Amino acid sequence: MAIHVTTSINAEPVEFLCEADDTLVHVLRDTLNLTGTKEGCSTGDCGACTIVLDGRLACSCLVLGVEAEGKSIETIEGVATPGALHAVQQSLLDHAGLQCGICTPGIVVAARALLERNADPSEEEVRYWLAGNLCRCTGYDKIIRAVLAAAQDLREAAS
Amino acid sequence: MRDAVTNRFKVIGTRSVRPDGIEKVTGQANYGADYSLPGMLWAKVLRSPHAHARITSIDLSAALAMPGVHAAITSDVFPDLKAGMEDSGEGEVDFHDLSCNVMARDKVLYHGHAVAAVAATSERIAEQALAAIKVDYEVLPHVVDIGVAMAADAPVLHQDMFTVGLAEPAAAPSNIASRSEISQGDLAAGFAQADIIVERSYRIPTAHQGYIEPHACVVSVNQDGQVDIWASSQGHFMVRDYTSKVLGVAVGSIKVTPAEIGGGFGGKTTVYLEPVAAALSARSGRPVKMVMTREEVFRATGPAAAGIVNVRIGARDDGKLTAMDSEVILDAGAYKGSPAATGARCMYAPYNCDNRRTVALDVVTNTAKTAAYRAPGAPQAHLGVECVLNEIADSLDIDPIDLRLLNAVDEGDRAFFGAKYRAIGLKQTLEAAKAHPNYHRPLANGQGRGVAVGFWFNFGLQSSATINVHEGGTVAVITGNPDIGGSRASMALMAAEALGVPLETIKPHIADTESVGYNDLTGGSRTTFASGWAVINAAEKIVESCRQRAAALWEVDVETVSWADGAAVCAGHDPLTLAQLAAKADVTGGPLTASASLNAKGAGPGFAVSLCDVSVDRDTGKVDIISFTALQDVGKAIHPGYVEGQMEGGAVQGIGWALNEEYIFDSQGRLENPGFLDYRMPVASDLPMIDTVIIECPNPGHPYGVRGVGEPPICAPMPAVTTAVNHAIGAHLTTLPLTPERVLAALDSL
Amino acid sequence: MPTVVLTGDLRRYTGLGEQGQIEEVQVQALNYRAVRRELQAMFPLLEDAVLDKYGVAIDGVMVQTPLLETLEPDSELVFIAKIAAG
Repeated sequence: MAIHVTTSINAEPVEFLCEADDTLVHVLRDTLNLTGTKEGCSTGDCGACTIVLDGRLACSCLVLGVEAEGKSIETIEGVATPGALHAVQQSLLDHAGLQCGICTPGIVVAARALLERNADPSEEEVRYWLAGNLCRCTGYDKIIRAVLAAAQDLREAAS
Repeated sequence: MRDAVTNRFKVIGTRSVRPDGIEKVTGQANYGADYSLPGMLWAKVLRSPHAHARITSIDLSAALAMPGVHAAITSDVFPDLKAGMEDSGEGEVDFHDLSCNVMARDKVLYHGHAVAAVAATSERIAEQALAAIKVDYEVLPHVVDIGVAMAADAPVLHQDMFTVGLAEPAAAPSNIASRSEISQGDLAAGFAQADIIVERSYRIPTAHQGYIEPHACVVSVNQDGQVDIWASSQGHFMVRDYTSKVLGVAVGSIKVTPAEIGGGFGGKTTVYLEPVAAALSARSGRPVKMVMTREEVFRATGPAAAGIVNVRIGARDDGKLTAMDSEVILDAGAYKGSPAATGARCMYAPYNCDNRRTVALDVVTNTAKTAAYRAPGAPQAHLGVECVLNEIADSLDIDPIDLRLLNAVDEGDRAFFGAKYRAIGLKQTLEAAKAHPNYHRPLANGQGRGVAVGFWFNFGLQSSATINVHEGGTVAVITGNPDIGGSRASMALMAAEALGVPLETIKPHIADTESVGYNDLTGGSRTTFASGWAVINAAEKIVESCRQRAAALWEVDVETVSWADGAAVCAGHDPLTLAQLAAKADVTGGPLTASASLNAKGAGPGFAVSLCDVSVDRDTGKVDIISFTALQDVGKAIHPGYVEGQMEGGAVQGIGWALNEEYIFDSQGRLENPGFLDYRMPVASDLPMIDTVIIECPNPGHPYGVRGVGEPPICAPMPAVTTAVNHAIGAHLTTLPLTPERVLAALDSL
Repeated sequence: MPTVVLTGDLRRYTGLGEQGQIEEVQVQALNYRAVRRELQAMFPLLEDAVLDKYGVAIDGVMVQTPLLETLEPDSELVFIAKIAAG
């Protein structure tokens, strides 16, 4: 039997119906048409479906739709403001930090969360923070450089 | 030629932002699973629970009776295609095998082999319906290991398969699909001249391409038989043509719109889902969507071939190679067609040696049909040759790069695969490796260094492009190769260069199969080379048309009109820019548009060198990569950032294959690790920065000197890593991956 | 006279030397069709179906459309087994 869920996605109130065992990534993608969140494995191993749930990073394939009740969800669709990319997004473009781009939404959401907590991460900190986000194209090199550069951009903008 | 090519560019070689970048960093880009249509059904595939079995009956009736189920099929709905190899552009395909791999006929040949499929109003109902399908199997003995599959008493997969290429026709069916041999000179004499001979046997595991996007498609078949497909692939023309064959529907009735592709690496060069979705759509009258799970991707889509590579090489005391003899045995999976012969043609390509032979064996096993994976066959074959060369260098106390320079091929030398090399950059690349600071970093205790060379042919093949100049002077560049790693950026750069206009005025597009001429796959490192060439040719037609239009407006002879910096120029007249000419298109001949198609010849081979330093934990056997340097002759780097990206990504895939990645089967032939947790690909914290060095020895066969980039990067890492580990622990490990268990066991046995 | 290089398994059809040895033959032909006709006159087992399975390199350049190519008197045409790519 479908369950009614009231939640917030990217600061907008949202209601949806889902079955008790529907994952949040399926609700986001197939019910709400928020297809920016990607599904690469359904087992929490690849990070392509990374979202922010009540301020914490989560794999939306490991969260049930019903668990969104009363919570606040942030997805890739909410990262850029109209006309302005987030520093991580711009930096990924500037550093050729994506090839096929399927992992990119998850990387952006995860890297933004890192920089909100740590304005000046070391290379090692970035590598461990993103260890849950698989990328098969880039070998990570340019992603790591892009995140470090974005951190610097944000620090300079703040000072 | 070299200087002329290197110095003449204005935008080529710059690190521009890719034209499709914003969509991809904001989540707006649509990949295979992001499409949906009104009234769409979801389809799921029933897969074999056995590694080898005869299908005695399939009963779909209970599934079809379920509410919400609209169609269910077995392979009965597909025509039984004639066996035999057909040319399909970049290699040969047996469409009988391809059809049987899409859905099994008579026998299932691997655990996970598709048996039936159901379309229903939801994924949930489709999955429930699969459970209601009744299949009876007669289970047969299976074999998943190529070494075992070649034995005389091994279970035979195909009773009609007789080894091709034997001196005498085969008397009995065999799992060895073919044997091919190339040799030159006198092996016995060559080994007799050798002061040192090293012989080793290497085992390489099955690895998966590991693209993060599972296969996905949406297919809609109309009442009039028109088939519309939206799918993620390395070539939507391939999807159209293969689907046409499997369905028995004319190519002209199928239109494929390419989705963005979330990685392929060779694994998306065939079809699995599209014919199934089309058959279900035709029967239900509704659009059908299919998305594989990660487990299905691992179990049933083409991994890269496992291999046994036996190598024996002889050299004189001074390092000159006197004889090379190798056997490359690669796993095709359930149906013939491993890249053994291709790997065998690559393995000696970097070297001169008068006496040598390769024997390539293509072997079938009860595992998923293998697919291409970046320079298919080459990494496995290079592993053997490069590791043995390093052992020879150690024994002779010669620097391993010097050993390679002494034997390296150069312009005018005949490649082992037959043709003579034109300009190539192998020696330049080796010299750059030798001069690199990473090659001179002192090694600590427990650390080791390895060096290796890799080779790939690079491909040309068929490409098409159309350029439309808009009013206002903006330019649409339309090509037909899915952009897998930034090729829109390289198309835009080449168009801007050829037209002489600002890069910002160019917008590249990738069109469906009806909106641009035919294109072979995005693969073989051919897109920037061949599709880029089509773009250049189309741009030159635009320039030619502009000169004629300007001449008409100025009432001068066209020969007096030249083209410079995006404008027609003629003495005594103000230049007419592309935008100004576009504004007058209506009165000077109509729309300013041009198309070009070609079957590109002159692809230039690429050589890569890997330098790797590792550190081995002697207590746990864990290997850490502490430094990795990828060097490669790329001809001309159109966008250096994406060229480096190919080199870095290929290096890390090679590192993963060397250290972690392997298919593990249980005693029933079932894959035990069909997920990213247990099939462990490298993650960010496993790696250091990858240092890259781009060498530019322009390809004389391309107007801008392009060679192709994507494949050489995976050819050299496995032997470089393996040698580094062996140097670190003083062992001779020959079985990959170099897991902590294997490294510990080697340490214990020293 | 142009040189034709027959590599690998093609030798099975020529009866020249050991299987697998690379062998060169001289031809009078100055285009690809004529090369094939001359080869087939020399080695009747080299049927169209056999040669069609091979790619062609002319003077070191892999050629996808050999029917359109002409040869120089000092040209070298190599039959190379077709390869598949990723």
